[in-house]
Amino acid sequence: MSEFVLEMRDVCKSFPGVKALDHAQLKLRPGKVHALMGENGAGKSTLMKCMFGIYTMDEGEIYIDGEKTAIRDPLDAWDKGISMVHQELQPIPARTIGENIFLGRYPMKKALGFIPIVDHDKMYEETAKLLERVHMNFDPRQKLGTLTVSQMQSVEIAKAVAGNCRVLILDEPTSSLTQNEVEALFRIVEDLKKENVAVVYISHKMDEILRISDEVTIMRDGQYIGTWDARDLTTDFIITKMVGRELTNLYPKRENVPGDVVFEVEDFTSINPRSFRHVSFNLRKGEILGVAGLVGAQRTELMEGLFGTRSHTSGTIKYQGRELHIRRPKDAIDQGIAMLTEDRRGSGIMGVLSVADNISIASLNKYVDHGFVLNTKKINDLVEENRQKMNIKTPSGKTLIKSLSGGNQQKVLIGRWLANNPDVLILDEPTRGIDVGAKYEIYCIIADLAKQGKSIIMISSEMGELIGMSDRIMVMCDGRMTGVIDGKDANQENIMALATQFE
Amino acid sequence: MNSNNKDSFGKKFLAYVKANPIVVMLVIVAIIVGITKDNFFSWKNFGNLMSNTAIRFLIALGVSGCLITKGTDLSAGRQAGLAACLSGILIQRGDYASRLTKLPEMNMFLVLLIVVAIGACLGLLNGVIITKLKVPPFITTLGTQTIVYGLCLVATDAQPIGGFQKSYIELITGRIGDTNGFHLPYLLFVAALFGAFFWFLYNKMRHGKYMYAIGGNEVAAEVSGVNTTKTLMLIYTTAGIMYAIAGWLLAGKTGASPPPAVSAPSAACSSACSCSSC
Repeated sequence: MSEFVLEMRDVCKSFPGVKALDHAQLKLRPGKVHALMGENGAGKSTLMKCMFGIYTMDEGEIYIDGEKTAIRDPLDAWDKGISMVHQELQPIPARTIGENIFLGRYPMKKALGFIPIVDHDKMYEETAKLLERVHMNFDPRQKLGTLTVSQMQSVEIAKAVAGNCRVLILDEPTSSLTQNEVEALFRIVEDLKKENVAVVYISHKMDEILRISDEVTIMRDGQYIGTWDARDLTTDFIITKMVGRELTNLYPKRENVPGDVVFEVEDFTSINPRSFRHVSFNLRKGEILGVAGLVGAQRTELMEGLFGTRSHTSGTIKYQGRELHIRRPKDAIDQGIAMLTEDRRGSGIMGVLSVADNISIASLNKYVDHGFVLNTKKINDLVEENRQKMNIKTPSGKTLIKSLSGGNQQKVLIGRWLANNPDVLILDEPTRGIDVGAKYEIYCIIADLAKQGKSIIMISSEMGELIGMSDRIMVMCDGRMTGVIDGKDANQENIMALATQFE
Repeated sequence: MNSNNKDSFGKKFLAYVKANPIVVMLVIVAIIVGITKDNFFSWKNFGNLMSNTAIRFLIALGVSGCLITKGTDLSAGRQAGLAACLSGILIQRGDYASRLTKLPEMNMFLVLLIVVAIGACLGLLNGVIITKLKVPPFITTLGTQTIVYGLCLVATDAQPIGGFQKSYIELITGRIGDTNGFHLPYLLFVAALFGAFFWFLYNKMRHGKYMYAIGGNEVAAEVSGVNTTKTLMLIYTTAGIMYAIAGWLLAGKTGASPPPAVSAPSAACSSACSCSSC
């Protein structure tokens, strides 16, 4: 018997034009949480997909209990005790919890002795047991769509630990969870450890990694950098290893000087009574206004209201003293307002289109000759200009945007808005799901825009980011604005106090 | 050395087959039909195939916009059918015995304008239902398909229409060259002209970029300031116009307008578009 339940050695995997894995390795001990860290594009997900049989390795070996083996496909992986909770959940909301858990491997029985049918009673009975295991008190016959995102995630974990699960892969499990939900997840992970399951934990959140994991493996550019005992590690050390260089500052020095008030919102109220109401605030020229709040504080909804993707009943928006009437995004864009949306995949990128198409879509009117012919050269110049200015890593403008990493996609979207030369930029979670190095680059871009005199509203759920980047921070709670704090005086405590000021 | 070259050619050929299964299937079908039917590989049949394909191509151009924006248009064939029937009714000779209308004999291009106007209205109707009433394109066009087919039956009394003006038939079935030798039907040029126009529209104009953007991610397009409502309405209206033009040509090509037969192109055109977009 080996001390490792699963071992991957010298794994190589190439995709056209990229060497995604270059002699990567990973060794998992039973009953331990093993964190896998690295920037986006470091090869974490690719390595996991090789382990789970979604990809076939070009080179390399997998050992289970010290014996060499091969994993053909996900079903094979499942049989060998490996399960995975994917970063993007793919639930079927219209079906019950039980059906989601047993999808594809329904327990069967014979009706009339020979007709194979699904044994629903057995299925729901087992589902109930599994739900209990992940501390969920739900009716297995309840529709999955009635659960919250975190509850769905627990269901996914229940699904993953059904059967003889020995290795569980959690790929960014907490990216859409609130603090309480994270605690619940950690309790489940602790339970699994006691059952001797080896957990692979992929996350960008340092505090979580340092809390939950026993061992940490760091990867960079598809290569194995090293494995350390989590107790010996510090955030700085991990970042240095991940990025491959010293990151002296998490945030760039800001040189912007806020000027006069240019943008004013008064008594802004949604048509939905439970959404934002009576919000008033102002924004100065060249200022970065952070917007803090808990999940559900209606920050995104407020910004979408200002930008015209959501309706409002009352309230006025003034820009340089002029009242704006915004009914749809185009009205806002015409007035020099831009909005980088929170859900990059859902309302940002057009995945199947090229970088050039994505970057030019909001400003096509500027690239038209004789009133109707698009000037391809000008569009290519735009791509090239942005590529150099923001260091966008893309082979060419013709590359499909979905093949870029999150950070580079985000830069393309920022470029899309800058092409319109807006005066007011609303950035909703601009660094969500982006790795440390690219985050810093995006902070630099934001700081530079403010220095150029653009007014910026930045929603963020990361306290550090808000405190480090904002001139002022507006705090919201439950649809209301509960206060504005000067950036210099802001700290975690006074922001949280305002963010939890429920009526 | 020689065998090496051969290998790489074999590999390239296999790669081509894998990437273009539809083209390969088409070639196989052509070969089989050519062997079993002795007049398949003749100039006469070539011309015939060209003019048939040309009309379907026009309908397919109309459908393509709907498909690019992740919609569909099931009413395509029926709309072309209605245009064919109306063209037939209006283009009948003034001295034809069983005329369906009491209107005076009309210029065929005036008739084209009329059916195009009607096609545009029907397309706009689809567009309005889809964008303003938020009915999915599949349901919308399934409904309008039935309505259009009903109109078609009422207009023609469910009878085939004949007795067209001679000049009309001659123009549409006209060709460069001799029927029995190598010749190119006029319809082929019409199709090429529209094909070029649509290529330009889709690749070189804002409208085309907006279409692909809507197809790629409708929400993101709207957020980026694309007027998705206007773009979609324009797409369905353009589609209606294309069906009308195809219908006007179809009636002249067949020399008669048989209402039930004209639904066939619909499926063919949708699949033509889907296949080429794969």
